[in-house]
Amino acid sequence: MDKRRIVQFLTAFIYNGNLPGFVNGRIWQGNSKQLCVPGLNCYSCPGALGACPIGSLQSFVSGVGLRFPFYVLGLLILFGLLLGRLVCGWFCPFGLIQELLYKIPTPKIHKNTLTLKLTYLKYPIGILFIIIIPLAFFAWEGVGIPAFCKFICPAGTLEAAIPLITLNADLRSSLGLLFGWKFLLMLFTILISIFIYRPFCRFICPLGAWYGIYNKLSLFGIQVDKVKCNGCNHCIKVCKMDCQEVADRECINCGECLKVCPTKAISFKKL
Amino acid sequence: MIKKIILGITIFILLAAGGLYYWLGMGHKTTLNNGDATRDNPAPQIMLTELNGNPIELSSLKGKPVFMNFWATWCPPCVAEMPFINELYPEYKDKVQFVMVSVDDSKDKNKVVKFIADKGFTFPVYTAEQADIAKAYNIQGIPTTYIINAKGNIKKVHVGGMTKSELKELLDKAANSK
Amino acid sequence: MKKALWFLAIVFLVSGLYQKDYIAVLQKAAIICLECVGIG
Repeated sequence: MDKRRIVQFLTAFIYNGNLPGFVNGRIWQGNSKQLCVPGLNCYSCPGALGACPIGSLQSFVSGVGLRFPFYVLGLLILFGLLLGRLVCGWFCPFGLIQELLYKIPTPKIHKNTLTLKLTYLKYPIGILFIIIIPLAFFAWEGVGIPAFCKFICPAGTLEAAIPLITLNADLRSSLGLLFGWKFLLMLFTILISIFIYRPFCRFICPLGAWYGIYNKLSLFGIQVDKVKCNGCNHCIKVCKMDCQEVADRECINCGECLKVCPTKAISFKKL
Repeated sequence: MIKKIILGITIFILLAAGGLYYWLGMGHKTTLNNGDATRDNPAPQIMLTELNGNPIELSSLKGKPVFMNFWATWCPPCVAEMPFINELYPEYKDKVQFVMVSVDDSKDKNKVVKFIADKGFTFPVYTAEQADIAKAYNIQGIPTTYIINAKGNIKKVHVGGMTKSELKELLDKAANSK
Repeated sequence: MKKALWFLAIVFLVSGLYQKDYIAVLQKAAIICLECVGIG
């Protein structure tokens, strides 16, 4: 197991350190949930010790007064400036899950011009479900809805809804169409993750879309020494994401390109 | 090769659907796995505050069955069921005590007052410290509704929003509970 | 650009902490709106 995999597992444990929650079906209600974790980790997961940044962002539109989410946005900018999409490659449990599913030996659908185009989907999805729909509901009904959490997030369904429902019989009686939809969506995501590398991260995840903007700006992460680079493009060929160049907006900083660079032009930034 | 993949996917979907059907059908436990706020146990005492600021203990409402609903202004399914509760309130208020407890932050008290006034709801609304409610009733999610009988014991817990007919059924049960 | 973002991050964080946004984050993460996470 390489260093990155170890960090991914450790991260999953740290984000979801409330292990008794998985036995008694209760979520953690302590003060640590005042802090958002950098990755996509539903705060409804019984183990979750922190808050999900996307969920927390949307919660500022839910409520009878609109508030500008200074704190959550401040954290998101900070995480971006420090880590960029290093979060995706190293500090996101749902990214880990997709990678593990991809290890199942089957024929794979590799990146191509279509998948590259699909990576642009993340942006309208994020804007629609995190800003427009919540605000629209706020305008119509006086209370915004966290549309991404409610209608889309498969990480929430897998990590939170399923454990909670399994362990709490009284929750099962209130399941209806919404859960049915989310369950199917989660199943679909799990399924295609076996054949396609990290499909959620590449095409849907609004957090990945956000952090991607910071990839070249971040303090830590991958970088290329343009002087040493001889333009062989081995890095892009081995990259399983849809990168056009190392450390662009699609780069999750996994370091696979680093291993194949003949001139050792690629490295992780150090302080 | 493609045929194998399609077959594999079909089997997976069938297994998953079968698993889901079985798992949703299992388990007839109806108690919350959480200490004291469970069926047939006495309802834990909490301190409530009326909207005008008067403190009131839940135990002082004994003598009539209680319909206690935990909600928040920021919770859309909570807000969605409140008009139904308001419609049923006049019909049931003599038989059942309505206790609508907001878990909004205590500094948002004015928001709660304004919300109730704007919506024109007539049922009694209370606020309480979220931490106290979480500890005493182990509320994890809202809306959550408790039916407490006249003796002060919990008879039913419902987690999640309800339709008007579900509410009516619950209130009928509450009115007839012993 | 980087400097502007760092400045923005600090201003936002300080504003958010002053407004006690973290309490709102805790509240919605400690008592969850079930339908909001797809349980419904």
